[in-house]
Amino acid sequence: MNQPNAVVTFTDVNQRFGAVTAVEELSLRIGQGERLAILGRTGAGKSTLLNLLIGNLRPTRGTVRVDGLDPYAQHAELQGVIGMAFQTPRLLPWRTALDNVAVGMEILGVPQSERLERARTWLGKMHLADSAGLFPSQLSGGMRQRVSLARAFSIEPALVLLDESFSALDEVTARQLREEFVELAEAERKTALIVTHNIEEAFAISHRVLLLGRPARILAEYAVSDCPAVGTTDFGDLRRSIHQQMVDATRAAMA
Amino acid sequence: MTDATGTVAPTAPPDPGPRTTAAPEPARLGLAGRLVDSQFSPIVFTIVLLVLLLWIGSLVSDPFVFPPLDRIAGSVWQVLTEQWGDMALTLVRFAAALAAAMVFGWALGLLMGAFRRTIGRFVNPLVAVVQAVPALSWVLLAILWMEVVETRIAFVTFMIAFPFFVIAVYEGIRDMDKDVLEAIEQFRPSRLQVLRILLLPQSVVNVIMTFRATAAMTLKLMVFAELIAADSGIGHRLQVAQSNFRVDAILAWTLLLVVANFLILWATDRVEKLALKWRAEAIVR
Repeated sequence: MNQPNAVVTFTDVNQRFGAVTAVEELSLRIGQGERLAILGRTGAGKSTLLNLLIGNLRPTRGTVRVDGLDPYAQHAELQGVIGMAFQTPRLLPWRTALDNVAVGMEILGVPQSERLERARTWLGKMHLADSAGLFPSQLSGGMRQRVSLARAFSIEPALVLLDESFSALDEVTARQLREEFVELAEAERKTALIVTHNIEEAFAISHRVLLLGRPARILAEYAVSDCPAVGTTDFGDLRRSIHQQMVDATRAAMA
Repeated sequence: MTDATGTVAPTAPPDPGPRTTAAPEPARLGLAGRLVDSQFSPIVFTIVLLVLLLWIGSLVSDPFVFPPLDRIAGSVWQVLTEQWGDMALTLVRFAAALAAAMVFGWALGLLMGAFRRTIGRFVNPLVAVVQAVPALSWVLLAILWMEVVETRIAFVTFMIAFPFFVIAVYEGIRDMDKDVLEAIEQFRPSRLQVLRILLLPQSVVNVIMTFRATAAMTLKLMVFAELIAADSGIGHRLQVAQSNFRVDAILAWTLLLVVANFLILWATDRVEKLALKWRAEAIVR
């Protein structure tokens, strides 16, 4: 399963919380520059996968590797390798947009002048150059989420994680941000893991989509290039099929 | 515009941009309306009412019990010109002791919050015990334990005020938004970086709120401590006035203490506006 250019590998991972199995015999890999979307309903163990990946959890069985390193045991060595944007922006309210973007670089020890310059560049890429001096309370929801994305990208991580990052936004803003994310990820050749429950979103921003059951195990895998384009009639059929699989998986888990 | 799959997407309208709050057009008011609406009106109303009550009191009772206004005004003048040293001494003691309590309480609260499983767990009950000790007990113990007046006053004020800061900062950290902590922890910061980048700035709110809540109480308790345990300061002057049956002097000192309290609250307001300018205040209509 491991490939030389793989940034992330999960090998036969099991994760149990007491009597509850959250992840079951899961193996996957994400190659360099690849964007993988993980699609699943609430409780499918998507967040557990992210927690395993950022080293908050040690798998009960199996191995997780990021750039060949164990995120749990080699926590410090992975500093600066992973950048994550969450469902909500999670900004520091007392810091301006500029200082919020710079916070990751500050922790990584980037000199002040360099980190402020890079933060300004990233705010510019997110179309927020004029809002650098504003506090989060003065920004709209979409702008705050852009700051959060800029914060994740600005440390120039090898791996970007998105945890339902667009789900709290209205559809128009979410679509706009998705497009900007794809542009940036393409330009920077970023490897990304996108966790979502939104079928259209998964297919719109990734190269490959994994459908997870409950507990987390792979039900189906889709190469986006082989699938109908989002918005077409054929995609509607695919969407209905995926939706039905998600419903069936939830019913089976609750039975 | 196309999305990642090549599908033509409708052009998204521009982001609404920074939030702005349009100030409502002020309604045209008459002279009476403008007077009621003025921010100074409640203050002027309170002063006029108090002066009126003092004047009526002096008319209906013995001057020994309720001195006339001119005698109270004379005492205020005497305090300001001849006894200002005692007033300054009390205010300096107050500022020094409260600053020490704030700095120590802030630092201890941060340490307890940053090392909750060790320092936090063990020190929290001790702080609760210190806070539960009555102010009078600290005053009496200070008289018996310490000879130097300044040490007594500083000790009493410090012991009364610092637990409030410790508890406010510690509880503030315990109530911290876990999501924000998680967002910062993704960069794998050291404990010291979490303290500097997250805990310290966040606790500023708790410290300012505690300062606002405890400043007036601390000043009153300090004057009380001076009354019993000191031979200088406002408390001592009040004790002397009481011994000499000088109700006018007691009222004059009381009036100046009230004014000092208002000035402290005003200054705290200014600091709060400056330090917490990032906050969006909710206004209930």
